[in-house]
Amino acid sequence: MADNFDFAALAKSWQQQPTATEAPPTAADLSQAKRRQTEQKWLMYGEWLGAAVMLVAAFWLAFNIPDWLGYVSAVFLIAGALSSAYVAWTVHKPILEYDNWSSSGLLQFRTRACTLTLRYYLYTQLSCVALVLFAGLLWLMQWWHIAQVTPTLLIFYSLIVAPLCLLGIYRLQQKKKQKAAELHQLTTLAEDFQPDTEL
Amino acid sequence: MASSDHKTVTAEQFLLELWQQNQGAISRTLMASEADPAARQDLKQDIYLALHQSAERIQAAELPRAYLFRIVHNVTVDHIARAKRQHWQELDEDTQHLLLQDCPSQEVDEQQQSQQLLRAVRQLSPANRQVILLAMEDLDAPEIAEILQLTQGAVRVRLNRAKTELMEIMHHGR
Repeated sequence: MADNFDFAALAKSWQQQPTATEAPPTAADLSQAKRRQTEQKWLMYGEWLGAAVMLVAAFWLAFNIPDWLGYVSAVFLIAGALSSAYVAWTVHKPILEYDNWSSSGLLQFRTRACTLTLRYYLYTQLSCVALVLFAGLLWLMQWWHIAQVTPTLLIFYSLIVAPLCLLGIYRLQQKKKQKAAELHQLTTLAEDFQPDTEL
Repeated sequence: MASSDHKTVTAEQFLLELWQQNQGAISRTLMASEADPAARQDLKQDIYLALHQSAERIQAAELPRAYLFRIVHNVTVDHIARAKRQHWQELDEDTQHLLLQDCPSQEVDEQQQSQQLLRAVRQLSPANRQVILLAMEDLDAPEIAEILQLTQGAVRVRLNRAKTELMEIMHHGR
């Protein structure tokens, strides 16, 4: 069917159409594009900072509340810090060498990164739920005198950790919806670019 | 451009020259891939930045033009993947104006055909559009295979599929 098509004439017509002169971008344009990349890097650094804060908080808890509750809380925070740092690095790692990729490979990479992010959001949400439940558990232990819970730990988890986690659960739910739509688009594109089998 | 010709110029000068030699093809790729003028400008900047970052490798490459097109098309695919909306369906006013500007009446038909062709190319699936755009710039199968990092057989299959889709769109619309 495609053989009956006068593709040479079409190509000629295509090349003859008037086009805007694509002058190379100016230094200002380049700096604007570089600024966008820098913003992406700062986003990654911000997430690393968040992970570092979680790590510091974990050590603070482990040293200031040296009992099993303190250690369990510290382990939660360390796990959160490590997963945040790892995903931030994977997701925001910029692809600067576009010449080393095929379009199909690039899309597969993006799809994997998007899937990983979606999974990260889900795990982070579950960690947040666990932390909120842990804060509730601390209160129950306090009320029923099951264990001696220090006021510092109660205040830290009730006034800082739990509200932040609830906010995090809400925000992550919104982000998950966006990412799911992005993943759908990426999957469709990646399938479209899948190399054909040779005839 | 033979590799011996570009030993004396800097990578940046070489890139500039390569851009100027291929600016028509770049412009047509941009028009076919992004209908929104502001987004097209962003895409152009992203492409140039990517080229700039690979300038030394482009200069050292045996086929610098293939490197250029590979980067142009990979950045474009990345742009499409990130786009929240599909922009390529309709011709924006800027493009219509560009296609019809200073156009004598006897050439109006040709310009309308150009518009029809551009619309049809924008409606192709992204993978088919990519291979059609390269073929319409008179690149042969080995060059396209080098750019897309596919086998020549795979390029021929995709090109055939793309031509069929293009013909269907142009004859029957979508």
